Amino acid sequence: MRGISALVMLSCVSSIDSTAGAQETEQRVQLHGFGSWAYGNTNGNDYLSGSEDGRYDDASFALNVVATHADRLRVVAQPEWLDREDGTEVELDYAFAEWTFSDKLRLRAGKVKQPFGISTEVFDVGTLRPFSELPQAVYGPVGLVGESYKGIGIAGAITFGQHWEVVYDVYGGGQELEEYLPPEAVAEGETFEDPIELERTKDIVGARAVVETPISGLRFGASAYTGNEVGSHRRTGLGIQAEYLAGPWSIRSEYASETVKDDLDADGFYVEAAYHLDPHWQLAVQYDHLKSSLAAVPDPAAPSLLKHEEVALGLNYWWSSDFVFKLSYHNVDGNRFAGPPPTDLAESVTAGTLKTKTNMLLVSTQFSF
Amino acid sequence: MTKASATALRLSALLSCAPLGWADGANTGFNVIVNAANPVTALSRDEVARLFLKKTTTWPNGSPVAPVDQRSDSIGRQAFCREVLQKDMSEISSYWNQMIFSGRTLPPLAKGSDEDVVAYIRANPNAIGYVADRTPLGQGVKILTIHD
Repeated sequence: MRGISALVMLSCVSSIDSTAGAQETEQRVQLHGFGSWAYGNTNGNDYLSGSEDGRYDDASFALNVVATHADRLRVVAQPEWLDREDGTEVELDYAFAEWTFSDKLRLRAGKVKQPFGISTEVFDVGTLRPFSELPQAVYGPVGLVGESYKGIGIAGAITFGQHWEVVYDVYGGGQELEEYLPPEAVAEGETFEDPIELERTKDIVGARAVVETPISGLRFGASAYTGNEVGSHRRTGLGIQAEYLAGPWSIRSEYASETVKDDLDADGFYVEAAYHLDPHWQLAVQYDHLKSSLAAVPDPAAPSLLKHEEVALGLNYWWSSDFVFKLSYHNVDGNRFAGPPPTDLAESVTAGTLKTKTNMLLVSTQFSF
Repeated sequence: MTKASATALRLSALLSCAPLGWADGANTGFNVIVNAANPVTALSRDEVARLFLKKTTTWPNGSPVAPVDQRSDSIGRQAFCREVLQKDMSEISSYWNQMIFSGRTLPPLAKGSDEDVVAYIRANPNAIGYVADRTPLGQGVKILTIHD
């Protein structure tokens, strides 16, 4: 299946004008893409791309294809190839059609990036953020946010006066999101087959509103969605966000919460700041915090399994805005995302050998075109 | 236009304390131009910025706007980004990456020279672009007055 998927994509690419990326002529089809590679080394636990022995395995590449027709219709698709320690997989990030009625109203249908918070729509685009990975307290595999929905949505921008604008999204359909299962399963005394569980939520209704202010680069917003989780109860997500991007500064902060009725509550928060010393060198700092609770285990034996607190420092070199080398140090307290391999987690909790603190050095490169 | 003369023009505009020279364009180093058949004769800087950032996609008569940029390494584009969009090129690049990879829109067409921009504007009634202020325009193209 993976080989066939790659062959199909190569056929599409070869049939497209080779100057598609250069924008020198009017084009009905344009190609863009992004990719990354990371090496991580930790003091014991596995976390993101890092392991105690050092891991070179994580690489990815996504191809963004946009076709326009008659100024009103756009068809957009983005497959992504992910190379990990356990092999390569292909994902369809999104594939949808958009019809433009006006700047105030556009209609989208298909598999669409879920508009929630600042970064769900650009989840894997490393050239749009100072750290290699998004803050895990909000964007980690805990089920706070999903990457996409399958259904129908409307979007647009409405201006108020000369300098205020509200960019909105409203959507409905179904959602799938990945949860890293082992910490919750071990806390509840349950076993698991696959450490990554695909949570499906049906009959979702969601919305996001982002306010652009008269201060250039300053915007804030709110997001929400609710639906019925398959095999469980109602799932509801809420989020608020603030962002200031201007000149050398990049400052972001978000809070998100998730409730699955009679099952789970989770709250995550982060604040991140980055500063360009010059066009190439950038310093960055981030703090994020997540706590979650399980209805079945109100007082778990290993509370670190449901907690994540992290401080990260970063130093980046931007060859250009489309190519960057990143070096970061991460100090993590908690085991919601950092811990021994999934198959060893339960044993380490029972034996009392679970390391609750993780330090990681991460080197990565990210690029886009 | 050489880099040195473009820089001198911008510096002289700043030092003169003129209202950025938008009314006649002569002191900014570039002119914003549209097709001669376009009924629009003047726009604010903010309105021009919205057109080139594709936040506004239609003219007042409902026709779709066709903004045309210049190459990202051109002096004219860097000056235009700084003075009209009020962002540097890295901020603009990030903005378009955000738009592209969130599936929202694509950057404007980019031409390789002032002459190519003029030819495109002449051939497209809904187009808007910018060229160095000494670029010969000929028939079919007019300068837009930009006010702040």
